[in-house]
This record gives sequence, structure tokens and C-alpha cells, in this order.
Amino acid sequence: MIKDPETYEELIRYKKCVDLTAHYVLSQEKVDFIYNFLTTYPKALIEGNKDSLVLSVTDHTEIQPTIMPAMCTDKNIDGVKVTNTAFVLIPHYTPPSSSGYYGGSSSGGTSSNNNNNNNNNNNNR
Amino acid sequence: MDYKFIHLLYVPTMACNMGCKYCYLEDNTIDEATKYKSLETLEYAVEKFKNSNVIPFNISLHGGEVTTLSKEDFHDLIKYISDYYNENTQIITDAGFKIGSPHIKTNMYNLKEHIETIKEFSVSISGSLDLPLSLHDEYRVTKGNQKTLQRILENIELLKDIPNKKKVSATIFKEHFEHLDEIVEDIKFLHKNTCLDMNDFNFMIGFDYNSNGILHHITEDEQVELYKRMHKEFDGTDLDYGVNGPWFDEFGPTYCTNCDNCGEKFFLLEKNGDIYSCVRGQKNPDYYYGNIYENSVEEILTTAKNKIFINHNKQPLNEECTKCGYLYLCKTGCPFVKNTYNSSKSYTCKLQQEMYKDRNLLKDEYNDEFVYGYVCKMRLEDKEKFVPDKKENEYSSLKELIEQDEGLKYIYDSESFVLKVDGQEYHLASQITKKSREIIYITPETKIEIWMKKHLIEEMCEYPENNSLYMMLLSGNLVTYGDENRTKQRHIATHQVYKGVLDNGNSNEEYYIYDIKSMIDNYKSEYSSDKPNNLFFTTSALRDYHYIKQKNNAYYHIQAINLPFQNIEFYYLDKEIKND
Repeated sequence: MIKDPETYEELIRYKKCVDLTAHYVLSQEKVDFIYNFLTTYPKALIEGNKDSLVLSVTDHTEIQPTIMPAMCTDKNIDGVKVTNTAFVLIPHYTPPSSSGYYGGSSSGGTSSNNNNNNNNNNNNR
Repeated sequence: MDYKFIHLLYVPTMACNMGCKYCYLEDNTIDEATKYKSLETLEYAVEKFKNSNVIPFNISLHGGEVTTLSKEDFHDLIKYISDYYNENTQIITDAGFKIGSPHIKTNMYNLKEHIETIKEFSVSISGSLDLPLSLHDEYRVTKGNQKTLQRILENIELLKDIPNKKKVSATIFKEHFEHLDEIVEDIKFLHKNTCLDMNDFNFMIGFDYNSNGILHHITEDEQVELYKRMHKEFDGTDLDYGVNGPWFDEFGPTYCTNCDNCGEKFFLLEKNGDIYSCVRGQKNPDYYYGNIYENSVEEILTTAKNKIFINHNKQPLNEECTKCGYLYLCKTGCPFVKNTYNSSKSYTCKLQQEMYKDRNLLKDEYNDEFVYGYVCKMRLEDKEKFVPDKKENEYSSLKELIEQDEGLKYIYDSESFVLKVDGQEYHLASQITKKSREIIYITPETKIEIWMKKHLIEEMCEYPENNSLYMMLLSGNLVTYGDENRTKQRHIATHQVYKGVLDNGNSNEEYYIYDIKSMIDNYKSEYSSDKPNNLFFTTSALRDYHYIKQKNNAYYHIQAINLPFQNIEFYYLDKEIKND
């Protein structure tokens, strides 16, 4: 559990985590992890998609991003970006009905084939 | 029941009877010590997957070399897969997949050993040859460096009376590419003189990273040359179907390399229970998804999806890919190859574009929308940069109206007002036109100033002395009011600061600088604590100009119905309030 914020810096960080829960389903454990991540890394970057949050550190490619499964429950947004200095919501883009926008649901690779170097099995196509 | 369907490639042995000089497994082609038997692991994995509602719609065998298994082990594995398909036909076909025969990938050197099992279950064969055939014995040799071609051709002959699917593929390096004439002749030879229907054949592009420097990758231009040469030779012949289909399908949109995230669908299982992405990622920790004996299915699926996401993001999204119009088909290609070659594009980009063109696969008319959807799902790039512009209406768009009007630009640009919060600058833009909502957090300790371009005080204004910096504070709390019963953010306060005050206050050459901390603090009890509050900036003259424009221009009215002025959203955090 996060201890009660004692400084305004901690309070802002805490509030950002609370605000994330307005858009994503997050357990207390995950909220604590995000809070600690922001505390540990001044250049922490948290980017939300439709079903996950990606936690990375800007300018530190040696730190592998952490992907946290988290369902976005806010249909009004397509994503979110949180840093120690910013909280940004990306409003949902509503495409014209005739467009090819895939809304993030297509996974491509529609064939039943796995095809790799030295692997081309197309027996159930 | 909600099932997830996967493609499962099973490696029952790492052993191989050959020592091909460009083998991707390099020195790993010896059977690894494990307490598990080959059938045991496959049975365990399939059962465990099924218990989690994960259904392999295809189970294919890969090596090592599967024909190095004992006759009994090979037979039992094939029988298990055949029985699995029979027992699960309904569930697999209901999901739109076809049921095939058990399928193996093989070097065909030891095929004779298992011919009875192949007959019994009509095993589908995918074999490997080098083209031109004259190079086969140079690179595809036994571990004792013995030639293999003659025996393989004899084994192919054994398949002639079996009604199974049988095909071969050839991996092309620069050394092979230099013999295109021979390749053409050898394809014709195999088609005419063996039981292989060479329509069902495919090319693969070789990778030099695992050829010990012996073989070399062909360039993208050479790939296109290969493709065009094959079309020149075989279009309109009895191999027309092949050259326009299976020969190059590997590089088309239906294969794993063109998935958004192949980790959602494709898995390679080893006899010891280890699960990797595929043969390319085999033995590579970045493509290791876990062990079927040690990890839960959920853990494996999550790891797979996450690792592929991370691997795709090791290279930045190529700007050309965002503009090419074919991203919807290619998805930037295989992450393993991209990272191996430090490239952000598919290694067969040019070849793919040729294929798309020839196969009448059109560029995406709504590419910007697809790119945005792709970025939202698969990329770490800033989404905001990819939000598409709104499509044109039948009437003038807001963007056009702004461009055509001398005064409106000051209401919508992102240069007129800059908010400085504890030294950090926020270039404020109109809430109607901006593509993201930035929320700031203000406390009693926050220093906050608004910087307004000096010339604004004179814009659209006959008497600047009567003009003012015009600030509107709105609460995040909503209220329904007015004749139209609209639900809006509740107004808290409007502050106007007239020219004289601005002139006498802080400024620099370009901006009036006005401290708004006390104004913000004054209304702290009015702010919403759980919905962002809003602060708008304009001048009183520009505000009037906006409403006059709304009255005079219906197209403007309907597109700028909400407050269009430059704004910032904020929370006000006060420790006293929190403790209450």
C-alpha cells in the first residue's frame, strides 16, 4: 500500500494514479506498482492502450518496458499518457462509417498458417 | 463457449540427421536431455491448453528433424494428431478453420523409414530442397558432409502413390540467386519428372546471420528481380497458379509475419515443454514464452503477447510505413528479423509492394485511420501524432473556416497563450481542434502565470483600451440549465484584466505576463476533485468575434458549438481538502 502522501509532489503522483483508475481497471497492487514506478524513475512514461498499460523509462532503452494488463473502461478515450509532469488523455477517434479503421481489434495474419524460415505448412488452408 | 484458437508447432526432437550450412538452429540440432517423452509433452500441452479454452486449430511437427524419431514414436505422434483433428473437427471448423492431415516439415532424407505411417495417415509433407539443385549438395549435406540430393529425390518418388499433400520449399541466398536460369529449369524439371505439383511450392529468403558467413542475404532489389523473373517465366504456364500464389505467399498478408501481434496466435512447443514464438525465435530469450509444465496457460499467453509487443517496439515505427498505404497488410513485418537486422521495416518490403500491386491489393484509402488504430494497439509512439484529421464535410470544415478568416486564427492557434506552471510551458490550443487533453495538477505551492501575445489586445478590436485578457473558470462538475437543457461544466468565474493593467504589469517584448495564482486559489473550494476543471483564455474582443461569427455563419456555428478558446484542464490539490 502507498503510504499517505506527505508532500505535494507525492500528492500529485498519488492523484494521477487515482485518476488512472477512472479510465482503467486496476487493482490496488497495480496502482501501487505504478506509483512506485513513477517515484523510482523521474523519466517514467506510462502509456495506456485499450487493454494494457506500458511502463517504460524515456531515454533508458536498457530498461525493458513492463506491460501491465489493464482494461480501459472509458469509451471516450483511445489512450492515456502519464509522466511525472503530464497526464494526457487521447480522446476516442470516431471514424467516418465508411472508413477502414480497425479500432484495434484486428490481429491480421488471417491464414491458418504459421510460416517461418524453414516452416511452411499450409495443409489446412 | 469463448475459445482462443492457436497454431501450435511442435518440436518433438531437436536432433537432425543433416548439417545444412545455413541451419537456423546452428549447433542445436542434437536431442536435448529431458525426462519427457515426445508424445507425452504434446498430449500434456494440448490438454492444458484445452482446459483453458485454448484450442490448437493446427498442430504441425517440426524439428530438428522429425524423421529422426523412432518409427514407433513418429507413428504415435502422427496418430495422436490425426485423432485430435477427428475429435475436434466440429469446434475447429465452426471457428472457420479447415481440418487437414497431420503435417510435418522435413528434410526428406529419412522419409523412407516412415513411409508406412505417412501412407496410413496421409501425412502432409513439406520438404526442403536447394534450388538450383546443383547447389543442394553443397549446402544441404549430412553431418558427415555427405551429399543428400539423390536420396531425397528417391524418397520423393516414394510419395507418388500417396494421396497426401506434398510440397517443397527453397531458401534463396545470394549464392542461389546468381543462378536464376538454373532455378527456372529445375522448377520445370521437378514439376515434370517428380510427383510434386510445383504449383504448391514456395520460396523463402535466407538470413546470413546463421550461415557462418558462407551464404549471403539477397537485397530487396534482388528479391524483386527474383519475383519478376519467375513471373516472366511462369505466368500463363501450367505453373501460373503457383507463381501468382503459393510461391510468394509467405510474404503476403495472410502469414504470421503480417500479424499485428503474432504472439496472440503462433506458438512453438519443444519436447521439454519450453514454448517459443516460432522457429526464428527458438532458443532466443526474447521470444521465450514459458514452459508448459511450469507456467499457467494464462501466463504463457500474456508473456507471448507482451514480448512480441516489446520486440516490435525495439525499432521505431518507420515513417515510410505510416505513409505507404499498405500498413494494413504488412504491419511492418516480422519483429525477429527487424531486430536482427536493426531495421524498422519488413525485410521484404519492396517485394511485398510488388505482390500487392500484382494481386490487386489496393492501398488503404483510409490509411491515416488504420495507422492510428495500429499505433493505438501495437506501438509506443505518441498516439497524439497519429490522430487523423477529421474528414471533410460537404460544407467548409472548421479548419478551412479558420484559414479563411483573419480573426479566428487567434482563437484557435497554439501560440497566442502560453501557460507557465512551475516553469513548465504549456502552449494552449483550442479544445475543439487539439487531439489530446492535457491535465495539470495545481497545488497551493504552484506558481502559475499566463503569457499572452501582446498584439492580441489589438486584434479584432476597434478600441484596445476597452479590451481585456478574458479568463473563464469552469468546474468539472456538470449542471443542466438553459432553454435547451444542455448539460455543461458549471461556470465558476470570469476574470477580465484590461489593457492598462497588462501594460503596467509584468511583460517582455512579445508577451504580457500575468500571475493567476491568486485567482486560481480563490476558488479552490469550487473545483471538482474527481473531474477535471477547465480554464479558458481569450480576449473579450475575440470572444465577441467568435459569437458574431457563430451568428453569421451556420457552418461555423455547428462546428464551434462548444467553447473553442485555448484552454487547460486541471485539478486543484490541497492537502487540507484531502484530509477532509
